[in-house]
Amino acid sequence: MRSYSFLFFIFLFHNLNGQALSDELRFAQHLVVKKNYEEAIFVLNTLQQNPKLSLIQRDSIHIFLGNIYYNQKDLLRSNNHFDSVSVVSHRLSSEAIFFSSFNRAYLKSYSEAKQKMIRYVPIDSTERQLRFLELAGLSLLQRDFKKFDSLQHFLTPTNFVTDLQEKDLREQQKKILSQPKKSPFVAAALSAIVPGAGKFYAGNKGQGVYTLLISAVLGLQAWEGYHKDGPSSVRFIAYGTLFTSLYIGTIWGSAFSVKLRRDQLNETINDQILFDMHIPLRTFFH
Amino acid sequence: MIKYYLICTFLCAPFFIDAQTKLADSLLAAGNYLQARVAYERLLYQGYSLPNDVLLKKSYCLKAQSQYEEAYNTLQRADFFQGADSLKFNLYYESALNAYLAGKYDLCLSKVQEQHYYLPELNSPMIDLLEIMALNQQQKISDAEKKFNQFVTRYQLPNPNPYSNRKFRKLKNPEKAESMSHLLPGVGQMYAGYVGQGLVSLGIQAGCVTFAVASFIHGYYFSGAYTGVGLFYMFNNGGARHARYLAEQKNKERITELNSEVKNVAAKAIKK
Repeated sequence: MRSYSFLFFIFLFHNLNGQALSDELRFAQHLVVKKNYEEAIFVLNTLQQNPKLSLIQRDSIHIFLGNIYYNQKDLLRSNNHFDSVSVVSHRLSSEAIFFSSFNRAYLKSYSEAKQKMIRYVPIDSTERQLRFLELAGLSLLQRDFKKFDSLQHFLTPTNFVTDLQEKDLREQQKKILSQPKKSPFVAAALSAIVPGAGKFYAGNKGQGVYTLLISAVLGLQAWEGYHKDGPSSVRFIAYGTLFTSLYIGTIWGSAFSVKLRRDQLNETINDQILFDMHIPLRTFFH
Repeated sequence: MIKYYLICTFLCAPFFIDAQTKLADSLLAAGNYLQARVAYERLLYQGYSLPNDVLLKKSYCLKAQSQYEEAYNTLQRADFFQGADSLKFNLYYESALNAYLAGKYDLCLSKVQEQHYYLPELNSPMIDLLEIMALNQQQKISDAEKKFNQFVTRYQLPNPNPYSNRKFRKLKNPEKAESMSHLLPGVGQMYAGYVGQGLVSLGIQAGCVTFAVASFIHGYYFSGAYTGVGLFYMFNNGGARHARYLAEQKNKERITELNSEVKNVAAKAIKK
């Protein structure tokens, strides 16, 4: 009887240990759900030091920490944890790979993000669709339209997880292709003829009008100084210098504003593409 | 035999819960606030029978870490209709205090009013003080004064009454300061109590006008119009906005000073 009791306690202790670790993980999940991130990080970091953790439990901790840092927009730390997830559980490793790839896309490491997706082997149709959507999004971010067009054949509007975003990615491609191609040289030349006209041409109409007005104001004062006091007068030299500086600055600024405007438009489109890549991941995994 | 083991296991549960409560309290007492927060949250997760008590203590940890908004949100997870009146009162008081410290004066006042409504028989100079200070922060000086007079009567405190000081009764009007500086450059700043800055603003704008007039007299119409009048217009607008900002700053300073005096008077009631 005594030996049975001893065995019972050994069994109970072993079970309690495993149970305690699972309970602690569930507690960490409760903290994440309640958005008590500081507490959750503390619990998970403490739990991570336990040598008795199974591989799946270790992976779950990395997933939790990856998601917490992802929510806190600390993407580098988030990636450190997602990249530490093993391949023991497909569910956990797929979540880690998709989010790690997305984080890299957000950090503009497009090639790395693409490599992650290319190496990933999906196990069902939804995962396959998700993978194609992410790859299509990455191709658009890299402005690789050939690749995007080739991936379009695989994007079939049959899955609720990816359906809307697939449509929107096509819209984004149209937006990119329909962007007006404006030349910085034309903008600079226009501003050299009429100050501010280059900015107007670049799409910054308000700035164009404002620059024209300021140039006119300074030009008229320089002309007044020249007309009344001659070319060596302080008034003419002061206003003339101001006008010339503004004139040269406007030419350079107009050429630059074409690039700036293009960058702003691309930034807006890229944000929308990232949003389209992000929504299905949240729907599917969370 | 197994029956005895099970009885033993079930008897252990309350013992563990009690031990965890003590552990959480000792962590709070030792100033290990993050660990204490985890310990309290664990009690809630395990379905501890006194959740309001635990949430209150968790809010103490967050308050000690200056996370006032989070402390307020934690307290809002409590059921304000459960438990002893003293505990409910503490929940209201801590909610109001954390809302005040987080700069959310409307929430602070709302919690004070809830306390007055649901627990009218419980009074504390601390919660009355919070109400007066929150009203001051919202610049509802006459309401704050009424509450202050009730407070002084209730706790039979000696004067002085800080509200009798004219500078606290009449706060600066930022709109008025802005309008004044538009019409008479620099006067808005002087009204806000910054005479030096008012004189500088007046000097600059006077210089612009002088330049404009001199330019017109000598036939420099473009220079007069664009440099003189243009700069005057810019400095006038900027000066007016600055006067408004200075009036707002002055009001903040005065309210801080007023609240400090109110606290000095209230300290006597709290000592009592």
